[in-house]
Amino acid sequence: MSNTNVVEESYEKLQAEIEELIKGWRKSINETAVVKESSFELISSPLIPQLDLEADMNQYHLFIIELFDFLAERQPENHEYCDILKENLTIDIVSKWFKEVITVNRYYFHAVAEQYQVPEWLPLFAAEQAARPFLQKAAAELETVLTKFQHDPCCPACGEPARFAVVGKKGKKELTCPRCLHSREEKKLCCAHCGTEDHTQMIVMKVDGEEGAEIHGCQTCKGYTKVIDMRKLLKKETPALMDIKTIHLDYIAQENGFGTAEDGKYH
Amino acid sequence: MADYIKFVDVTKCDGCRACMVACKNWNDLPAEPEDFNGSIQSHRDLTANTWNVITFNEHETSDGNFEWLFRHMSCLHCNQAACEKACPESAISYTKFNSVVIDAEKCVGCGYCVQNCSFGVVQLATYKDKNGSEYRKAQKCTLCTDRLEQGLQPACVVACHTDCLIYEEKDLVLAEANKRLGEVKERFPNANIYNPQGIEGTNTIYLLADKPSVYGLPENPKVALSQVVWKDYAQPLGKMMLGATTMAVIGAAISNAVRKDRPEGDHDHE
Repeated sequence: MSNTNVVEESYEKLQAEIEELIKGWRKSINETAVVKESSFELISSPLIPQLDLEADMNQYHLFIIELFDFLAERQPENHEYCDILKENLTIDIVSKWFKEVITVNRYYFHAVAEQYQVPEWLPLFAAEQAARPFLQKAAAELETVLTKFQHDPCCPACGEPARFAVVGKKGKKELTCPRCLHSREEKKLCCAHCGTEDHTQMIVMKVDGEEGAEIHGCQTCKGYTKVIDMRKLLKKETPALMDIKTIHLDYIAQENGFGTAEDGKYH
Repeated sequence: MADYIKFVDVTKCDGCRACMVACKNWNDLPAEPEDFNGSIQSHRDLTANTWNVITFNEHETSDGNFEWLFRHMSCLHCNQAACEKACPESAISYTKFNSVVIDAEKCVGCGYCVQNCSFGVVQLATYKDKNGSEYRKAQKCTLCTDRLEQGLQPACVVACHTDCLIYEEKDLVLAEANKRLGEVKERFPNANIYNPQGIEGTNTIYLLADKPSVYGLPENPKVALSQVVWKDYAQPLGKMMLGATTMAVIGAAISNAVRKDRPEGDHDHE
């Protein structure tokens, strides 16, 4: 995998450190439930955007501040922007950020960036990373409810477009969401987007010399999934990191005419 | 990077030989067809072109029944490797993954490593150069160091379908080994973890169902003191002395040349 990885080492390191932060935050919220029991009766997916999560906004605020401090230290060129956002964050704004980031409202965060004259990516990135522990906690709590949602082109928990799958220890293909870590089993030759099981419609692409990484493309809906055989890898990275490290597979799939549900034109 | 080691739980092995095939495949080793020699074991022993072999030992249980004892036999990658100590050309070395590898460029095919390996793992392969002259090189399992460098598991581990072979972080492996030992003790009272301390442990540890000798393994292998003295003390000292002598000779030659260049009468006088 390292032979073809196109991601810069420094960026990979930064992401790995952010993953460690998220891991720590996840531990700190482990004791409290974020999903209200009464909300389990929902019938459509994705579930989490429809729920009113009981997330502690003070904690979310702290996570964002911690992330801004981290970014300011690692990327001095963003120090000033992080400070501007930090100074203007109130509990009300943080609550609004949390609500909007769950549904990935890009328009809202674009407006925030314009309002404070900061890089467009920064508010959404911070809000998203700090919300992940809550998303992951919620997805874990909803595990049993989520089993009834199959063949969804998006993650049934958080709505992230399906694009990443791993082959686990037992050899089963599991669609894994890099955002909320929800994973669901999928047939080996089945399109994660439209559910096609016709093997003549499925194309498996491999990168020369890269063992254990495949792109499963569907000729019916032109969707694709990256499939990583974790059994072959020495170091088991988190799905978010693996997703970043295999970004070259996205390029290859897209150069070959495949896309994801996020692109809109396939579904 | 954390220390990784290979764990071979022989009690999970079903003798499928997938590890042998995967090894041949990845390392591009030629097949070595063998005649039937009275056992369903495919090869009698490791060879220069067969870096791992599943041994089939016939075993009589305490109640008189028959049982196969399998063992994935390959290099154990000793922490104090006798082959490394014996090599006069320093062609055998440890990698950052703690695997013991042979540098084919440096190997002169002397065979000292073959004679000294505690487990009979290293073997000599014979090749022919373009003039038809034969030459030899020592060969053995590399722990798939080339795969490890790419972030991949060793080929044999990937191929193993019973999880008999695991390549994981050392602490996890040792914990798993102890856990498994407790589980199999009832069925195999002589079960033990084979990680010989006489050679400071190995980077392939075994959970054996019976005594090491039953599997053809030495009970307590050690590297001969003479080898340790030779490799770790005498050789570096010898090299240092050779360097010092060379420097002295060069120094003397320069000094003589400078003296010769001076005119006859140009002497210091008091």
